[in-house]
Order: sequence, then structure tokens, then C-alpha cells
Amino acid sequence: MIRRDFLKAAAVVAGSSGRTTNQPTALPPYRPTAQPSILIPMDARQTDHLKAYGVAYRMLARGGRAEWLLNYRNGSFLLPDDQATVRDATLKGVILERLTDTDVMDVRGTIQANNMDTVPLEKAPKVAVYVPPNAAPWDDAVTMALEYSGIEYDKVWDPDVIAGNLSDYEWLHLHHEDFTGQFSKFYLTYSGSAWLTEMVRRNAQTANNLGFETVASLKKGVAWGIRQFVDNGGFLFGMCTATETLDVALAAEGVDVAAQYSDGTPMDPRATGLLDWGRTLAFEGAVLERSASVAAFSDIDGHQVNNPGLRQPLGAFQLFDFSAKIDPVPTMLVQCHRQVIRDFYGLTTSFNRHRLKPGVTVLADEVGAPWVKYIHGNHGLGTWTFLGGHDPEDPQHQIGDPPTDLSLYPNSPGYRLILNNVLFPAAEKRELKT
Amino acid sequence: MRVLLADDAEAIQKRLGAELLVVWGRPDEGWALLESALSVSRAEAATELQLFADRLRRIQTKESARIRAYANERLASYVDGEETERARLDAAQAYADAGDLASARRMLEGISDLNDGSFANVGAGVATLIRVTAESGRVDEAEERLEEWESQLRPSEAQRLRETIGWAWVLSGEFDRAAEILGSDSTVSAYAIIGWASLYAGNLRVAKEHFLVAGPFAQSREQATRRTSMLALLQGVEPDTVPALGEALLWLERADTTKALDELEHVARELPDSGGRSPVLTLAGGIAREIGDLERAESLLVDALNADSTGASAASAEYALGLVLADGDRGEAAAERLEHMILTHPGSALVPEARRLLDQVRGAIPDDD
Repeated sequence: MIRRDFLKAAAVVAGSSGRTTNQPTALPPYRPTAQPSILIPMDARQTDHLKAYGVAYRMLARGGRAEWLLNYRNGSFLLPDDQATVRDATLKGVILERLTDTDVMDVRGTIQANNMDTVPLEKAPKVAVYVPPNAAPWDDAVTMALEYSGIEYDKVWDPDVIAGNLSDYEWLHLHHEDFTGQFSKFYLTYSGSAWLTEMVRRNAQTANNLGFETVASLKKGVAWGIRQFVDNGGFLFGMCTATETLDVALAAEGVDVAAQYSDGTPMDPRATGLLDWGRTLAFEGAVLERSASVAAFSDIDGHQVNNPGLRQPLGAFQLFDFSAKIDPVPTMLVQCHRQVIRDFYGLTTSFNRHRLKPGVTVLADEVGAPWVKYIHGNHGLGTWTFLGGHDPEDPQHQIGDPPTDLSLYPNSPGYRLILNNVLFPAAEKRELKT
Repeated sequence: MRVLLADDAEAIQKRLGAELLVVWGRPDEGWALLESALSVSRAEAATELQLFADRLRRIQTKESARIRAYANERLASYVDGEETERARLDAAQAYADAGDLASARRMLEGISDLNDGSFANVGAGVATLIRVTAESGRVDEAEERLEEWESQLRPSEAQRLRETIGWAWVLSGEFDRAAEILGSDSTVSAYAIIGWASLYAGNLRVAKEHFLVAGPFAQSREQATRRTSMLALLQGVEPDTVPALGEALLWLERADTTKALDELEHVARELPDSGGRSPVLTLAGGIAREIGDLERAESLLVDALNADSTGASAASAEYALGLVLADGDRGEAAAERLEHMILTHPGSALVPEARRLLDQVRGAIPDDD
């Protein structure tokens, strides 16, 4: 469901009940099930957490309905007992539990009495991943998670965004794209590599075909298209350097923030002071990295993995505990069987607290550190969620490393966070954020 | 690691990188790196080679043994006197572990005092010599040497050599000679060897009994796994005695896969549908796949499933068929087979492997290569 419909439904529910946002929500009305149900447990008993999301997603794609039991056994799914789901789960190695009507009543009782809630899942969201057409799925944590869990997605690239085709999708993912148009400053280390040459050629050709003078200006146009997608009710999920550079590109309309090797002119020395943070989604007030020889973009990232003097070691981040009945959206996004998760580097690993806009919801942070890991917010009619880092199961990821094989990490808590985001748009739920 | 492997890395970094490569299962690359970074000083180089060989000793693979042999042979040229003899003996043992018997013999021939008994570590030297002799197929000569030297060997060493000679007799088809040399030996390892001798003689019932007594702890883990697999196959074969099956399996043991495949296929056709045909055809199908004959493998495995689609071997036959189809780039057909296998035999121990293969043919995870 597009967020504009989501909010319309929320207004109707809130209006009819006369509740204010500070009152506890009523439980969904009890709907006696005509047939036995299936519980997909998401606690330690689950053998393959990641594929469990795929089972739930495909159930929705077949036109079925399901419920996401927030905080009940770490975010389990309740589905009608149908043969296709049982077959799917058996093939994928996902543990199911069959429940009688009495069992379901017990589950609902437990949910009522605790910090839990149920969220109806109604429609499989149409998923797009922003990625070059020739990219293999193994260098993007989200495409790996989607492939592994069996969730269908389309690839979109600059021409699709500029043409306004994002409106065909409910959910969009960005990964390690550099929206400042500086090719992630890879030239510092990988100059002459065939893949980098191809990346530059492809982007330059695309910019030329679409009537942009430089790749940097193309990427600013794309960033604006993505912002419009959120404005219009889309769900955006970004990871790694796409998070930081998207906002920098949005703030840099009319300001040259790209190094000379990229667009032929040096970065405007006054660039930091000229940025307009009123245009951005998540961050404000950042200071840009002016050196073309440092593979970092700004002081948004707390870890500065490629900035020798500022690089910070990896720790662990902790998911926040939200009130499921009052804050269902952030609760959905943090459903996991682990509360503390090992951190992982990316070109952008984390987000400094003092660079977050007011109103940004922090979903996870490193206790005692000046940075946070996982954030969420609203913009226009839509929402965005940013997770720092590149690959939750390859903490030190470097270009050229072997691809991560998710069948070796079927219970990965970091990858679960990604898949929470994929199912989040499937939820029909009134928003009652405090 | 990139720093340690860089062309301009310092020698000490490269040596560290070489050890890491060994630990990571890439001993050949480690050896190449070490060779390029040995110290100029002979004493220091000897120490570096010794450390490298010691690191390799902890890894029980043929590849590791081969590289350990190279390191010890090189070490022998950096040291003098008794240390040279010791290094050559270590190299001989390592070559033997790697299956390179000619090189092992070459190393032993260089130990000048071995035959007159003046070599300080005569027990280890003679034991290696006997082992290499037996494994080279000169079993009579090895047995004579053992009789000659047995009183000077440790009992455990003598027992290991009897087992080596017993196994060499098995491989040469002299099953009675194997039973003779191991007759008084009541260890589980001896039971395992007599089990194989019985199997190759076609006496399946006796083979099963011996494998059961040998249990899971006799010999190496790899050998225990082989026995368990064979036991699983034998349990599906009804007749107590099938000499042709024993003969076919002996061809397989001798690595004559073409001959073994023909014989296994022939034997399978003589066995009852639910009394052994299916597991033997499944074995044959797996061998055909290993030698790259996918068409024959598919035909054999389909026959195995037609003979018995519900018995104990059906899951492994269908999984093997999935592998064959995947090897032939027939992803959809492979996926169909694997799905059928998982849904029909959800309790099979092969289901996790089938799921992984299914993920690979569907492109959900990267290929192993």
C-alpha cells in the first residue's frame, strides 16, 4: 500500500475511534478463523529466518492475507493454513507450527497482555532496486537478501528514475550509489580497473543520453526523483553510501560538490556553506570532505572507514525497544531475535547524531558512541529508512572479496532488519506515533 | 592479507602470509610465497622451513602432505649430519602421506645408515621404508622386512605396519594373506580392513558384521565415513554373497572407474528391484557423474528411481540426479527433481544439501566456484 493510502486509512481509523495519538490502541477485532492457522515462529526455533520472510511475502503475492505478530516470538507471522504455504516452507526449510483456533486465541491473549501487537499484511509490495543494469546481485546486501528469500524485484536505473517510473513501485532500495557523482571516490584505489572504467563509461553515457552535462548533475536529478518518490508516498530504504550521498546531492542543488576528476571542475571551496539542508530527508549541517584524495564525503558518517586519521573501530549496535501498540512502524522495523548486533563497515557505516534532523527516529545505535546505525523518518506522504554499512555478514567488506553466501547465515539478525523493511509496506496499519 | 601478499611486501610479511595461506587451506600458494621469502642465512632459512613444515603437519590433507614433503626436502639441504637424515625421513613420510611413493623411496635411499642400523632413528626410518614398500605393491618384500625388524619396533608401530601390509594385500586381491597377517589383531582398525577384504571377496554379510564392529572410530574420519556409506549401500542389498559386486567395488578401490562402472551396472541388473538394484545403480550413477559422463549418469539414476522410488536409496538417487542435471546446465529440470526429493523425503539427511543446490540452480546464492 502506498503511504498516502496508508495514511488515509489511518485517519479513518483514528477518526472513527475518537482516539488521540497518545491513547493506547485497541486490539484489532477478533476474527474467528475458519480454518487452522500456521505460525511462522521468528525466535531461536526458526531454522531460516531470512527465507521465512519470503514465505510470508509469497503468501501475500498469491493474494492471501497474513498477520505480523510484533514482538510475539521476535516478530512471528500468522497465516491461514494452506497447502501452498506448507509446501513453500518445506522446500525452503522454514519451520512452521500449526495452531488450532484455541491456540490462536491464546496467542492473541498473550499479545493483548504484553508489549505486542498484530499488523495485518495485505498486499505484497512491488519492489524496485536502484542498481546498474549489469550489476550482479552479490554486491548489494538487499539484492542478496531478496534473492535468497525468493522475493521478486525489478532493477531500476537512472533513465527509469528520470522518466518518473518509480511511481510503479511501492518500495525502493538504494545501496552503494554515490549521488555526488564522484564514483564513490574509487579512483583513488582502483584507478585503471576494468570495472571502474566501465562504471564511469556507463554513467557518462547515461548522463549524455539524458541531456545532463555531467554525471554529477545527472545524479542530482536522480536524487530529486527519488525524493519525489518518497514525497508521493513511496517507501525508501537506503544502505551504505547511498544514504549519505543522497542527502548531500539533494542539499547541493546548484552547488559544485564534485571533485575535478569527476566533472572537470574542482569542488566549490564554499560548498559546505552553500548547501540547502531544507531539501534533504535525514541529515543537516554536515561539513563536506573537501579533499579529492580522501574517500569520504562528509562528517555525516561516524566511522570514516577510508579516512585514516578519523577511522573508528567497529563495535556493536543495539536495537531500540518501541511500544508495539503505540509505535507500530518502528516496532516493525526492529523485529529481530537479537537485540545487539555486530557492526559492519561500509563507505558510510553510521550516522553522527548531531547531523540528524529533528524528528528522525533512531532505531538502533551503539551505546555510548556519538553515532547511530539505523534511522527512520517521514517525508511528504512517504517514509525513508537508512541502515549504515555494506553487508551485515561481511563486516570488513572490501572490493574483490568473495560474495556472501546467505545459506551460511540463514539466521542473520542484520539481514533480518533489511527484510523487515521489505515487508513493512505490506502492512495496513494506522499510524499512531507518539 | 593484501598487505602480506603484496609484491613489495617485506620478507617477514611474506613468511607470515605463507603461514596464513596454509591455515586457510592454500598450502601450495603458501609454499610459493615462502620460497620467495626465505632468509639468506642458511640457519635462519632452516628455522623458517621447519616452522612452515610444523604448521603443515597439523593439516591432514594430501595437498598439505605434499607441500610438507617439499619443505622437508628443502630443509635437508640447509642442515647437516643427523639433521639432514631427519629431514629426509620426514620428507619421505610426507611424500608417502601424499601418495608419492617414488619420491618417498628417493628420500629413503638418501639415508645412508638406514640399512645397517646405525641411523639414530632407525625405527621410524624402517617403518617408513616398510610402509612405502607395501604401498608400492611389493607386499611380500614389505612383510619380510617387517618380520626382520619387528622386534626393534614399538608394538604400536608394528601393529600399524601390519595393517598397512594387510591393506596392501587387500588391494592386490590376496584376501587370505590379509586375513593371515591381521588374524591375531583384535583392534577395530583390523576389523575394518577385514571387512573390506570380505566385501571385495563378495561376502557382504561378513563385511557388514565387520564394519559394524569396527564402528565409527576406527582409522581416520574419512575412512570411517567411507565405511558408513558402504554399510548404507550394503543394507539395501538382499543377497548375502555377491562376488561380482565385490569385484566391481575392488575395481573402484583401485581407481579403475570405467571398469568399476561397467561391472556395477552389470551387477545391478542381476539384483532384485527392491533388493539392491537401486542403491547399486545410484552408486554407479554417482561414479558416472564424477567421470563426467552425464548422459550415462542420468540414465543410471533414472533406472535407480524406476527400480525403487520409495526405498532408502531413493532420496540419494534423486539428489544425485539433481546434481547431474545441474551439471548439465538444466536448471529447471534440476529444480523440479530437487523439489520433488525435498517434498517426498523431508526427513532425509540429504535435504539440506538439496536445498542448497536448489538455491544455487535458482541463482539465490552464489555458485561454489
